[in-house]
Amino acid sequence: MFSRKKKIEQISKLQVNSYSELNETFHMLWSNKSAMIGLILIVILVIVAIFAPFIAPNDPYQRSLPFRLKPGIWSEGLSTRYPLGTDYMGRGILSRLIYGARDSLTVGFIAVGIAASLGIFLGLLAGYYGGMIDHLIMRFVDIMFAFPSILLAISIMAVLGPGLEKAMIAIGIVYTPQMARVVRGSVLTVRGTVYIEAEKAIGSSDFRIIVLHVLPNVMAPIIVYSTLSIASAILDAAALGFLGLGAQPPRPEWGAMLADSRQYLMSGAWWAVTFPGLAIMITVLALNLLGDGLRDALDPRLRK
Amino acid sequence: MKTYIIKRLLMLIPVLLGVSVVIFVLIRLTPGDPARIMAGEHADQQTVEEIREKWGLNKPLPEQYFIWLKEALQGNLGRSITTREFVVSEILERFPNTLELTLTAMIIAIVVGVIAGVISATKQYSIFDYGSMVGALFGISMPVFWLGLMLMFVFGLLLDWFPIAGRLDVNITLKRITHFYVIDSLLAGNWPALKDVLVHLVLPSIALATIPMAMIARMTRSSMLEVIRQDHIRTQRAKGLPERTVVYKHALKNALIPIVTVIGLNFGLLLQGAILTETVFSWPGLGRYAVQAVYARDYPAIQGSVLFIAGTFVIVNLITDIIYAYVNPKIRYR
Repeated sequence: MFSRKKKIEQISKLQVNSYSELNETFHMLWSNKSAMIGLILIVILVIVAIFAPFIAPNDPYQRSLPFRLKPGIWSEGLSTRYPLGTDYMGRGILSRLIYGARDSLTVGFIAVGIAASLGIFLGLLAGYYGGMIDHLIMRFVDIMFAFPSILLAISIMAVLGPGLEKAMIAIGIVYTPQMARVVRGSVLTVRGTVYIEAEKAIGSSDFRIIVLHVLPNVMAPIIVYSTLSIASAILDAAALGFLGLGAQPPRPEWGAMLADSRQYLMSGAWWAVTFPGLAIMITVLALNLLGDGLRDALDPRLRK
Repeated sequence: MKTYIIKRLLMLIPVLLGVSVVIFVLIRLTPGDPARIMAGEHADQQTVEEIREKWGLNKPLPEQYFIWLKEALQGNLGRSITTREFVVSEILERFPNTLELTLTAMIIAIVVGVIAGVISATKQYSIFDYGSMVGALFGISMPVFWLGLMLMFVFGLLLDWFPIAGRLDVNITLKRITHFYVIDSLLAGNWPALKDVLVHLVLPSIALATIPMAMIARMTRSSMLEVIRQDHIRTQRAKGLPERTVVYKHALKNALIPIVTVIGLNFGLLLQGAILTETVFSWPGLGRYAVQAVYARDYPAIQGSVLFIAGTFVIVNLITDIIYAYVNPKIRYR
């Protein structure tokens, strides 16, 4: 628990105080090769997801039993029609992966969106008002931290029942405490500054101070933590899909595709399992690269 | 140090109570009659009524919680719907299996991770450094269940080096003493069994070890790089100590604190990974038990296994914090 807290502490200290610092941040991010590779990969993935119907070579739901479990371009024959082979129902893997990008990216963004909104709300309350509210919220966060995240997600899914939308909610709930902690940590640093005191002195309302002055100043850590969280949210959603608790067939979600094809691995259809896993890995890798780059760019100790 | 440990132990109580409330509430949120849920779909009316009476399910919610908590503290988590066995005994039977798998994975991760990290740091910007750091980057981005399946396909199926499921061949008999099969077979001097246990362990533990291994390697490298540039290391070199002594005896020792932290953090992560790895390799552990309980909507088993895993997770984290405080005195006085 300690190191998770420590990581959160480090991230919650990130701050951008002026336009010149913002410039520098962008400059650092721009010149960070691995972060740029991550960003380019993510942009490509988003484009693929949006334009899936135009890019995909076949209909991802179209079954064709004569073509079931056929290999792709590495073997002769079907190469052009199904570049990455077909699954056990004769659906093209590549097309399913392209459509699946929609699901995986949506899960990542929406789950983290839920976590960020709840987390920002709780974190602002706890950090800004302090006292009893802070104490209550933080004890709750401690309790949620006692669950391994995938286990908590599985237990919530046991109550909600399977489904991709429910998986988003479950992962959103699971990620809320961490987000609340990040926000609270950075609100605490902002709260003590002179400009907040000045606002208070001229009689601004709490709401005005929070929205206009506290929130903009805690955005940097929220953005970094969200980027890194999207990566793990996608992994967790894939894990739920793999366990049969997330997206349900025939939906081409990557984790569910893996689970579907798992039993055919033993009959040698490695492509049906390998490519969905690679897709997950590349997406997660890209987000991790970008997240790490953002963190370094926003870290004042690394700025020159 | 003693006061720190006592303080942390006392802080454990409210957290564990909170955990039990969350689990209790979670199951109660499931739509339907709780007595029927606990008894299972196919139970007869009499069993349902017995359960309603025993667990006070017709009483107010707080009272239900206290009845449940009292029973849980006495080691009664109810009976599994599917097997009608006591959930606690089912859990205790599987727990050593999970522990054996995670400990093996941890040992692999520490040994390989630390060595790779040290070599990367001492030979910075070499091919080995680039190779292992790119490898580590892929390692932390990989879904563990996918890696498991890939290992299974290549080493279990194509090369046929290792078995792909289970923990021990059915034809081999082994007297269970500690329920840790490696130790049991050593104690019995049963060499064929030991060999079989070890080959069954290889694939799942490598799959499980990869992510922590990657994290440990990255942390070891960066921590070593910081230490290796310091003056005292230059002094060691200047006075003519062999490079090996400088690196492993002096530099690594000083680089240890962040490495220990990452190792501790990963113990928790391993418990998570075990849930998925056990499912892939049909490993008869606690994680697989929890997942199967969810499939079967076996609520007493879900409650019990989640409570048990969360409890283990909390205790592992506590031990990490204590070790951390031990190696880093600054923490103790906060």
